[in-house]
Amino acid sequence: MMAEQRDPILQGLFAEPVSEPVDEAFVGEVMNQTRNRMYWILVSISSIVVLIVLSAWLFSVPALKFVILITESLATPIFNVGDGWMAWILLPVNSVAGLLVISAKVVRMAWKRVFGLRTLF
Amino acid sequence: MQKAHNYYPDCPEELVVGLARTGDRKAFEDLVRRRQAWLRNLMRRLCSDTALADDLAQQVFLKAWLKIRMLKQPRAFGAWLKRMAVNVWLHYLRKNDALRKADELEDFEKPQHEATSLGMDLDGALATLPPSVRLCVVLSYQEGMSHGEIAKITGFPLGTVKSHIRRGTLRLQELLAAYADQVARRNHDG
Repeated sequence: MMAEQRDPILQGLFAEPVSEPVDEAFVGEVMNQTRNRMYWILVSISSIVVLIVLSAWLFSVPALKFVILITESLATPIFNVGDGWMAWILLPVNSVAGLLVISAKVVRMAWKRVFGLRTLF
Repeated sequence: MQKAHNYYPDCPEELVVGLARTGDRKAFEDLVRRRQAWLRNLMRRLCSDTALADDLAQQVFLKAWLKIRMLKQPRAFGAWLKRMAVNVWLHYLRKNDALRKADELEDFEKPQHEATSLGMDLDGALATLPPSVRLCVVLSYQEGMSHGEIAKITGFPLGTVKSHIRRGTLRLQELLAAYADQVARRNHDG
């Protein structure tokens, strides 16, 4: 292609052979770095695993209690409709969790209407 | 009995790349040995500083080692390594804010041309080009890449690549005019 023609003299100059024997010191340095990086990755992964295990051991009981508390709070009915079949049908909306989801949807819709496509969440 | 890795230098590169992808360090070492001269030379042309070029070349190989499992086609190893080298170079430039000076051509004293120092003159002339211009010129002339390929590998717009190569070529022609005279004389005498 005409537009991509190269200057033949410059082309010749770039093509001048560059004498470059295999530099074993360079190869050794690269391989040392790969080994060091491998150790570093292993140490990082081990540290993370240890941290997770320690956290699980230390915080598992309080975390479980917290999760149960949240679940129970979210499942709390807003209106008392008894224990009959009506309560089961209304369960998805008649709870704190349902109220939160509906509120989030309403806020999102309002946000879209007011500010267009800019995402809120 | 000979160990398998003693045969790596005689194996086709694709096969060695395939072995390196499985985590074989000896195979990767053989790839470094095969490609180091080309890569260091490319980095030297790009940065005109031998020590820095070697540092960057080491970074490229290190990245290659960490990512080689993601290389889908072993036969594309050379192009993949080149793309990584360009990315490392561009990252270095951005980190050092060198691309900001992309439009400035540095002052350069025209070299005194001797047949023995032609390589040196080319490196000196290249060093006067702004980094992004130098990158495009080196990829075009040294690596034989098309403008489209350079645009793809560098992320520069095609028009910018063309303009960089045109400007770089003109600048090099101007700086290396004595070499051109020498070639013309040689052709005339021959």
